[in-house]
Amino acid sequence: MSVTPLPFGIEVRTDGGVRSIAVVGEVDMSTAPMLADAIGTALADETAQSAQPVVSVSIDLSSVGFIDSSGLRALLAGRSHAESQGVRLSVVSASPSVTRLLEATGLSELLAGG
Amino acid sequence: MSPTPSERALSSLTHRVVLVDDDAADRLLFVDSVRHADAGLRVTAVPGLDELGELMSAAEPPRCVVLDLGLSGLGGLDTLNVVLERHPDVAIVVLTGWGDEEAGAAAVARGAQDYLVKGRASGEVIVRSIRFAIERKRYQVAVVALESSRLREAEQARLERALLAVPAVERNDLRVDIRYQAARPGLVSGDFCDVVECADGSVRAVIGDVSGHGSDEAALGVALRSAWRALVLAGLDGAATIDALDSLIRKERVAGDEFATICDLSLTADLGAVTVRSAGHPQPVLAGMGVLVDSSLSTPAGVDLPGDRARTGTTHPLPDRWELVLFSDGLFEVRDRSTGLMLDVCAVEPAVLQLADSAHLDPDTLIAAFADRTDEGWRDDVAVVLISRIS
Repeated sequence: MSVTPLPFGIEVRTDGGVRSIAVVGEVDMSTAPMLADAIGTALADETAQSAQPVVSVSIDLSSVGFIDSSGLRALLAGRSHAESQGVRLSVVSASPSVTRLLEATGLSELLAGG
Repeated sequence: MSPTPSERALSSLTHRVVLVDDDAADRLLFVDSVRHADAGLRVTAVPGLDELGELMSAAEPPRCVVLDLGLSGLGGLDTLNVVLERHPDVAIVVLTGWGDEEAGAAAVARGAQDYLVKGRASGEVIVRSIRFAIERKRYQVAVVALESSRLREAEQARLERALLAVPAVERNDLRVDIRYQAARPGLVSGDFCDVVECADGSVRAVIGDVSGHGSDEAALGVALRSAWRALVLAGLDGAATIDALDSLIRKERVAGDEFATICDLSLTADLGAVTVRSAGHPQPVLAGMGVLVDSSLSTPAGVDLPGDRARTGTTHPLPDRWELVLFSDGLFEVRDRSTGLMLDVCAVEPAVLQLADSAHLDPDTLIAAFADRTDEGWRDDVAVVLISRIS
């Protein structure tokens, strides 16, 4: 059986200082910059919906079928950026293949909420 | 004299041309004589370099500038230098004063395509000079582009050679096979690998991958590979080597967020055991046995290691004969045509086992096995190292 990969999509939700990012599709060289942008948006204190300082950013990768090293780089850069602001950035949910990749690259602990 | 076919072809093209001359009467005369001689040249005239700049930033800028070296203000070759610097793609014909042909020759030496002596050239001569200047400039630009693409290719080839060292293994009971395949010809990213025999007969191997794609990443891969060899030959063990590479990448990275996955192997001198240390890199597969797991698997070099972690590595005993495959993620990151999904690291072990069973395991057949599973082609560079104990 052949499945068509989901078209890439990304959504940033703002609930005061609590920000969440939901990603759908495949994160690779071409879509990783959009993930990086979304993280940047989520980390901005003032958004259209909120003027409260950011407290946390959670990323939902449960609908991501594939993520490559460009995607990991965007997540890790986002995590460092968040840390420098004193904000916790974490991957709260991941598809089986993303979970395998995070484990294989030794990054699951670092990117998990904890 | 009738025009040659190539001259006729040249004269049929329409080009915009601009004269820069601060003498209003000379401008009128020039525009008039060019228009009479060649209706295909749409000629305008401006008094100075500021007006030229405005014209050059228009949607369809002139292809040729006829520049009076006698402009007041800067004057002479300084005027030419300004035009060359601001408008590197435009053809230039300079006008020199009567008896000042030396200045014309000097202008051509600096980068103008031709020169004319002011007031001495007929309309036909001016037009010919302009048309040939445009063609000459077009040719020169093409030559420069070709040369820079040759340089780029040579640079990529150098990087590719530097990313995979010639294995330094003397012992005749081991065979080392390395393959590197760029995702697109002439473009390498940062996969690197090496195999070295130490003074005591033990053998070390490494494979790694710098995140991202491009020459900066490839250069970082080269730095990591040569540092790895130097550290191993200096006697550092696997853990200390990866820690040193971790600090190296933090100092050398260009964008600031690059990291590298690295897998370092230490084989004992009797080849009876191997210690695997992986910093986020896919772990090697032992044909017939499976994945050689590092239970201390750590984060990639350049990424913070969570608190209490140490890169202790995991030691595995080895049989009398064995074949060990190291690889980068480019090998399996392909879209499987039967499912439409991207393959992941789990696909490597069965592929290695199947090839080993059919006695056709080598880097080329392994790469071909993955190429056969996809219609899309490669997304990333592929590095494969096969180390075999042959006696």
